[in-house]
Amino acid sequence: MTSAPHGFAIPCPFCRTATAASRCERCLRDPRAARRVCAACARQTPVHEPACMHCGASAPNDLVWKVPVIVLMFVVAFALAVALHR
Amino acid sequence: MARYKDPIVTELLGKQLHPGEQLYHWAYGVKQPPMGLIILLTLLAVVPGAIATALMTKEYIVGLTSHRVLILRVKGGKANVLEITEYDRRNLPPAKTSTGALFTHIALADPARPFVAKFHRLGMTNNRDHAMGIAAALPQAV
Repeated sequence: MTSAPHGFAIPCPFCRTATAASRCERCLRDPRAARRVCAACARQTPVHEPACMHCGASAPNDLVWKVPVIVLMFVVAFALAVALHR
Repeated sequence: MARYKDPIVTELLGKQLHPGEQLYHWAYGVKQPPMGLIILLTLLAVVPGAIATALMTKEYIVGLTSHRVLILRVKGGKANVLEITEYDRRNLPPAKTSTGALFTHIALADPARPFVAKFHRLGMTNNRDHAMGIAAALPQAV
């Protein structure tokens, strides 16, 4: 077991167990790993895990709605430009 | 002009602090899409280009504590936290920082978790001072 860089126990952001190790003894995750906040249950999950470790909700991808909206805006802009130039 | 007020930001960062950890500096920054893409989108259509740029811009709150550099990706007027990244101050990746008339730029060259953002001086109250304080605590890349 590797000791934590800080040398004192911190609450694991994923399972809330106090740990001083570089890997939580309970959930076996790195307590200092990059993490995301679940939109459904507001608890934290490592970013590399596709689903929330607590409620199973899948991670939303903003591009799913942003890309279609951006494409639609440009299509509407071009359609307006063509219509106004006639 | 300020995106978030100090109490909101310090409360958000305070929730991430470990026992005994102190918060020294906090700043609001953004990461925009590549400049070439912004120019291309704006040339195609000005208003949709500006909206697309705003949609693709990521917002960050960065905090410097006694032990860590905390990076929160946030969105919305209430600063909902989407992602949290932290770097141990004793093992910080090399950073490139610069300060201009308006922006302070901070880039962390971590191979696994790279981070880059720019901090407008009016992003928050004392945003420039805080961003420069964070930049000063980072090891400069050669």
